[in-house]
Amino acid sequence: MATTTTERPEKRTAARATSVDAWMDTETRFLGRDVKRQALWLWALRLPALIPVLFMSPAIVTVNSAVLDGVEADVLGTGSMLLLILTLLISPLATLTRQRWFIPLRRWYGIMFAVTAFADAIAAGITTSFAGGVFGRLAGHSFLLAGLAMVLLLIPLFLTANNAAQRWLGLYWKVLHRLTYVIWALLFVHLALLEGLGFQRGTNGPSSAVDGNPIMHQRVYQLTACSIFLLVFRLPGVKRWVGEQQQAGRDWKVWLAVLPLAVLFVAGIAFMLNEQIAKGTGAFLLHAEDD
Amino acid sequence: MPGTSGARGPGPAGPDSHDEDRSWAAGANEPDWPYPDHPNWPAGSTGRPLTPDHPSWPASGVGQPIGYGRHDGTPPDVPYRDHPSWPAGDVGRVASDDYPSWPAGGPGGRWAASAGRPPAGGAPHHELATEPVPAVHHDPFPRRPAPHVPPARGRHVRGPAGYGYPRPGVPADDIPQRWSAQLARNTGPIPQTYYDLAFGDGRLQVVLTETPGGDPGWAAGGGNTLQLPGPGTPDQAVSWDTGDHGNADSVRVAERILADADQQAAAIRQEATSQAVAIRDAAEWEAAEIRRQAAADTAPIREGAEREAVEIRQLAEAEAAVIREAAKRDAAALRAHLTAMAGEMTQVAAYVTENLTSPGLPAAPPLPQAGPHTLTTPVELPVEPGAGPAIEPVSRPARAPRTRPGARPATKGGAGRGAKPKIRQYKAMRLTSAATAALVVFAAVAGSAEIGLHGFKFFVFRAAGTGATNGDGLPENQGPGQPGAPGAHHKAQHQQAAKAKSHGKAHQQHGKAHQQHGKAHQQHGRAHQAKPAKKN
Repeated sequence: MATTTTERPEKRTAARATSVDAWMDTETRFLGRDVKRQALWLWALRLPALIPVLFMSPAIVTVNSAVLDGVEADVLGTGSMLLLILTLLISPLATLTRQRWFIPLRRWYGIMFAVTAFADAIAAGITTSFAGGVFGRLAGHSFLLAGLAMVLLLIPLFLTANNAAQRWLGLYWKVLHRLTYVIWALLFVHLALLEGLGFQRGTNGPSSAVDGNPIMHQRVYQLTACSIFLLVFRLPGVKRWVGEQQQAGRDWKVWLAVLPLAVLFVAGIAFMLNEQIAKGTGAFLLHAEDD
Repeated sequence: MPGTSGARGPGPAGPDSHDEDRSWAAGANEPDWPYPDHPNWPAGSTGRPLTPDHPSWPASGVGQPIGYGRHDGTPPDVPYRDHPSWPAGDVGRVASDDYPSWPAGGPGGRWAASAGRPPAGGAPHHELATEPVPAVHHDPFPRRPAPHVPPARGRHVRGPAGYGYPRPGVPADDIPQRWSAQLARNTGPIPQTYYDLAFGDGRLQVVLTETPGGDPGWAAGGGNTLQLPGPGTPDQAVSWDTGDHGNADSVRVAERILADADQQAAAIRQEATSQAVAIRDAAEWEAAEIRRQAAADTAPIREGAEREAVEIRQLAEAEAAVIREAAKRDAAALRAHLTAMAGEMTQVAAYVTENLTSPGLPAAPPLPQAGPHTLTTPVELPVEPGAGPAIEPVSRPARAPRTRPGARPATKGGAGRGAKPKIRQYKAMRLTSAATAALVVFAAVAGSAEIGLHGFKFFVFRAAGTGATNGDGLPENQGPGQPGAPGAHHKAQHQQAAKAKSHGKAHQQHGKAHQQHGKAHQQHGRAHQAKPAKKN
């Protein structure tokens, strides 16, 4: 979610502007107009956030219950998780690269995370085969209740993800948007209750574990693999150390420390993307391939 | 103007020297002339009355004549000696002031004879003496200079000047009107020459009325007339009528008059032009001098004004700076005071809220002292996940306020304990927190309800789908209308129990009926036992 994102131009970039920021600040011709490269790149990076909803749009428009019941949780749920990870990824990237031109993506990804999560909750409450009606489908089980709590907590964050609310809340805007970390934690709970903390047993877990990897097919471990990187480079001590190393010209130390965590992050998000693309494409083609 | 005079002065300067004029025609006293000194005076007439304003104007038949002329046929012993044409010898003659040049003191007999005969029925001559007209004269003899006299005004009517008067037998209406004018000039000691101007038929006629003394060709009695084209006859040439005696010298006299007039006119024109040029030059020089003086006068004034403007501006800037500084100080003090007040109010509200919501808890630790000094040590917000909880120990060192680009001055004070939140933002936060808490409560209530409906086991585990706990035997059949729905089994049992209960009641009633039937049988047996005892 938009934790600290503002769409306003970063005034501090003038002092800390890297070569990439300076290049992004220049203008280029696009469709006969002079446009900043930053704007072009931002919009290019904003479009992928629409993919989860785009995958499910045919099934939603045609009210295809088989697809909605079968894979909507995989497509929209996994998509929401991916967007949350992308939202949380902006700050560590800014810390490591010292670039700030992509900071506005944080709010956009947070908003799209909320939109995707709302779509997931609505579809799950209407179409899934869980018992108990709408409330039963949303809160009939523990993992459903955790998911519902996530969605409910996203509502104030979504409503205040704008400059007007930022002015309205002032100092408390950041305090309120720290709920993002609560949602992050609830996602762990949601996935743990959904799939369990153990290794894959039988048909438990997504993708049926046919590739011999019993760990990374469980979403909770995928999220964990990504969250380690996101969490470590949010710690104030780590951030301070990174800043010191960068100021001292020892960037290699930073990248050396980043490398294993980045590999783990890429491994975890690769499984998410694999499932998102595989099941999302099937959903877009109205082929339900539930695990 | 000097040098010009409209009339001659009176007295001895008058041209009363006819005796010395050798060309003066003698024997002019003709028997039919009533006045020997004025041959053209109509003798024997009743005289002419003269109007007071025009003493020389004949007013026939109206009153007594004024001035010269008689109407009662008195002999021509007129008492005017200063006029050559006036009967001299009469001391009672009153000289006309407006005609000082009139010859006086002599009988004027020759004058009248030489003046020529006036045309029949001649009208009185008007003598013109306009100021700008120079005195034109023709006098070959040196004469005494004419004294400077003020210009005469108006027209002067000359009386019996020789011709133009009605003659006996000629009606007065038939006499053509003639005007005489005296053109005099006194640019130095010049003599005087008389000639008359006669207007008529669109032409101007100049008639010499006084013979040049030295001109031998001057013919007495002849009408020497210079005819000039009038305004209506510009195409006619100048002609000289010498009368019937044919004196050719008159042409020369006229030419000389004209040449003299032209010369005088040219001189006057040149003089006027010179004066105009001089006046213009003087005026221009004076204007230039005034401009230069004005410029010289305004330069120091302008410099002074500019200097004053600069000083005023500097003074205003200094005053504005002082006022601005004072306003800033006041605003800062006021802001600090208001912030302190807001912080105190917030702390009081938090304290009250805390005490009201948790009355059983021990008293909260003392709040930080409110005051402006807390603004100078803002506490950093734990915005990162790794940061500490919202409520941190008081002993945590405060950091410098963040300078995030998107941060606003209101957000730099810190949101933690001891901060001075804005009331509006605090209310917004309270509202948002309440909404979030309501949502969380809603989720908790929903989960609790689900647990209550389906049981904890069903809530924690699932039998099918992703994450299903195999072997638990929990089918997803607890939805509305499904066999495993909450209360469905209990309802079935209740219905069965209800059915069993109603069946028992039937049996009980049936038993009661049987009991009543047995009681009836018992009563009937008792009655049979009582009947055999009565027959023995």
